[in-house]
Amino acid sequence: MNRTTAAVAAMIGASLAGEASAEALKKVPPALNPGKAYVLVEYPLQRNPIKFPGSRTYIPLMDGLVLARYDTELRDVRGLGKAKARALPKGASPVEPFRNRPVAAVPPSRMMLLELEPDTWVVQGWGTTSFSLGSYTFTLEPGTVTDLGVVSSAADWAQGEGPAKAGDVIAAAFLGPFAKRPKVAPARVSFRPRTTQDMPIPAGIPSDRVKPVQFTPGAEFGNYLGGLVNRIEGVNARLKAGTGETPSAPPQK
Amino acid sequence: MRTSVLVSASLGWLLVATPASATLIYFHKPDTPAETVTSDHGRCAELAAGVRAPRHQIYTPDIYSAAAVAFFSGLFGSRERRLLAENVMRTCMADRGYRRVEASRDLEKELRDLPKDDRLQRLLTLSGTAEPDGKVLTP
Repeated sequence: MNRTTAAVAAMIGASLAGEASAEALKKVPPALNPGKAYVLVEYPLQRNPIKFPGSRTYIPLMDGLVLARYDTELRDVRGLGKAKARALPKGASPVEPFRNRPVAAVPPSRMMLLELEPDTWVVQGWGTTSFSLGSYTFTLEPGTVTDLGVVSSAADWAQGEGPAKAGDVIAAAFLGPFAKRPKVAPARVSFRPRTTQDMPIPAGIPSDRVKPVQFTPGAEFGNYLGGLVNRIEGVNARLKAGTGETPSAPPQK
Repeated sequence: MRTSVLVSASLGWLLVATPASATLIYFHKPDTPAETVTSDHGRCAELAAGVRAPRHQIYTPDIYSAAAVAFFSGLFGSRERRLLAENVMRTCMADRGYRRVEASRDLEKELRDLPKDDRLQRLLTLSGTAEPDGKVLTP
């Protein structure tokens, strides 16, 4: 058996074992799969600050939430770090990366519908920022749609730092890697429940199956995204607000 | 212009490896036992070790160009990785209540003259003293 055949066989085996990879659905399924769990999340688009004729009104989504299956006992992402001993079946990934495949798009927002495995999940990160210092877990029940609400992100700049100035950007364009490196900031994320001002839940999703998310704070894990780390609410945002010692808490409903 | 270098004993970013003009910056939290400092440093260093430099690839049929690109990509890739790792250490230690302190000239000289192991111990002790020895910076 060559390597390609073996990989295909592993994928088929994983799907037969009920651990098929997650999927970002482009349309609402005719019926919810009772063996799967669904997540609904809305991303508001940022307005484009450049107002040249013909330029986009909104900036396209580049990054989004990265979700991962979480082991609450071993306190790590399943199959990684401290939870390495409790790996998922071969071929199943514990991580659901962001995929820009909206189920509904109404400017200025995009709504994603994810089909995932029922389990305890954690908000692992946003883009390449890992919320290893403190994040939220939530449980996905089979046959239900968990509404994460509306999520938005911001750069969590340290005190006295901020985005690069226009002069620095121009210098970087000319000098390339020899230019002074601009400061970097990890991302932070906030959730808020859906209101009547936001996108409605797509038609075809039975309303009795939709339930708002119940976040549990305090999840920690390793840095598996290879980028910066942060607390989901933002370490620097908390320091700036003068609440440096308050524990990680979910957003107010 | 003097550059700043964050010192993390756990990561092995020691004074000896920094340029002569570099300013020594260490993390400080008042009245913290050495075991706690070691544990906090260890956890943050673990997260910083997870940083990967972004890969830049340019395809060219010319072997000399490919070699030059690979050389510079590796060179600037490690700089990128080091800067990201420093940011991880800074955010992680700030989350644990540590402040960054720019070491005084005397302390800097003292540390430079110490053997590697003693320097490590001195840095761990310094991180938990009642008062910082140097200028306190923003977190």
